[in-house]
Amino acid sequence: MKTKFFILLLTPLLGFGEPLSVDSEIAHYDGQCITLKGDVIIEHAMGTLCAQSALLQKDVNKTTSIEFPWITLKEHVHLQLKEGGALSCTTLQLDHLKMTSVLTGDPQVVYTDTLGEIYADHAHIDYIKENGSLTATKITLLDNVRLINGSTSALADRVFYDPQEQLVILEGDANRVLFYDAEKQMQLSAKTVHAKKNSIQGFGDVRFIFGPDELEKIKTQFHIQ
Amino acid sequence: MFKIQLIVLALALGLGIGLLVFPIQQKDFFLYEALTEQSNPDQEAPVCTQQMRENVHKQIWIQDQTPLYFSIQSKNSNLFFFKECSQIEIIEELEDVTCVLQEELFYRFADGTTSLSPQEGAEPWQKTRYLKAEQAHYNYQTHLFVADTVHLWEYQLAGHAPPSTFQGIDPQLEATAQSVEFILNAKELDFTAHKMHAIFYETEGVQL
Repeated sequence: MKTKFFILLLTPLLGFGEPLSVDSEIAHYDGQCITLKGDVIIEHAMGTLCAQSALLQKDVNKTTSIEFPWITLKEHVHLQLKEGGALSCTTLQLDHLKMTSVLTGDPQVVYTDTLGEIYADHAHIDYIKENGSLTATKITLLDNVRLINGSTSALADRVFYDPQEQLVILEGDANRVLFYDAEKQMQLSAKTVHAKKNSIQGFGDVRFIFGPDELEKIKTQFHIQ
Repeated sequence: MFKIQLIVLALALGLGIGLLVFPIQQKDFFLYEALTEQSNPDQEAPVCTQQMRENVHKQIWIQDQTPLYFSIQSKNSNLFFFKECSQIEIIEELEDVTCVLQEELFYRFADGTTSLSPQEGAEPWQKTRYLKAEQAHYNYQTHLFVADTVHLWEYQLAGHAPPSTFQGIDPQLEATAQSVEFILNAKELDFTAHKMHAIFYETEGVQL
C-alpha cells in the first residue's frame, strides 16, 4: 500500500554522500555543539529542509567515525522533496549511533504528496548502514494515525511499516483499525490490519461494516459525505 | 595684646586691598581647574594613540586548550591605544586578513576511524580552519576577534604541525558569513557566525 509514501519520506533523511548546504542567521560552535538559529535552511540533492533552530552534537570521545551523530531540528520543521512530497513536524531528532530518527508533531507529523497524506502524533524510523548508504528497517507511526491514499483511508493507533517486506501493519489500541475504500465501497474494522501491495487482511474480530460511531469517525476524520 | 590685634588688622586690611586690586576672575577658575586636573591622575584627559603596521603576522600557541594554534596575517593594521581614567583599551583594526585556527589534534586509522590518544597504526591528523576576511578587529583586553565579510574553510590534514598551505587539499566545509566572532583565550572554542551560508562536502554525520 503506502510503500511509495514511506520511501519518499525516508530517502532525504537517510541519504549519504551528497554535499549539503546550510544557511542560518546565527551559527555558534563551542567545540561540542553547533547551534543554528533563525531561518535554518538545509539544502540537499534530495530536497530542502527548513527549521527555526538546529542542534548538532559532536561525538567528543570519537567513539564513531561520525563527527556529529546527534542532530535535533526544532520549530516549524518542514522538508520539501525535489521529487514531490512534503513533511512537516515540530521536532526531528536523528541519532546516528542508535540509527534512529524520531519525529514529533504539534499537533501532528504530516506527510503529503501527490498520492496522499499521512498524519501521526509521532514517528520513529530505524535504519541500518549498508554499503555506505542507509536503509530503513522499520517505520513506526504512533497515535492518531491517519492514512489517505487515493480513494482509501485508514485510521489506527499504531502503524508499522517493514520496507523489506513492503508490509504495513495497522494496529488499534483503545480504538479499532478502520479501513475504508470509497471507490470499492469497502469497509473494514479490525484490531489489526495487514496491508500489502494488492492485499488487505484483517485480524481479530473482523467486521466488514462500520458501526454508527465508526462511520461517523471516518466521515469526520476524512471529510467524507 | 595690642600688638597682636594691630598685626591681624593690618593683615585683614592688606587682604581686602589685594582683593580689590586683583579680583578673582572666571579665567582664574578655569586655570585652577586645569592645573588641578593635570595634577590629579584619576581625572586624566582621554588619550588615544595610533600605530600603523604593515604585513602583520601574529602566532599564538595555546597549551591544553582549544584552539591549539592561532595565526593572523594582515596586509595593513592600525593599532589603537585608548586610555581614559584608569581604563585602557587596545584594539587592532586589521585589513585583508587571513587566519589559521588549529582546532583539534587526533590520530586516524587507515579505515577512517579516529582516536584522541596515540594508537598503534594511527597517524597524527588535525582539524584546522582557514579564514579570510576583508577586515577584522582584535581587542587585546577581551581577546575578542571579530571579522567582517568572511570566507571560511575547514580541513582535515595529516600531521600535527600547523599547516603553512592548504593548496591541493579538499575542504570538508566551506562557508561565508557576514561576520564571525570568537574569543581567543577561551578554554573552549566559542565561535559565532552571523548570516552564515555553509557547504559540507563530507556529509557523513551531518547528513539530515
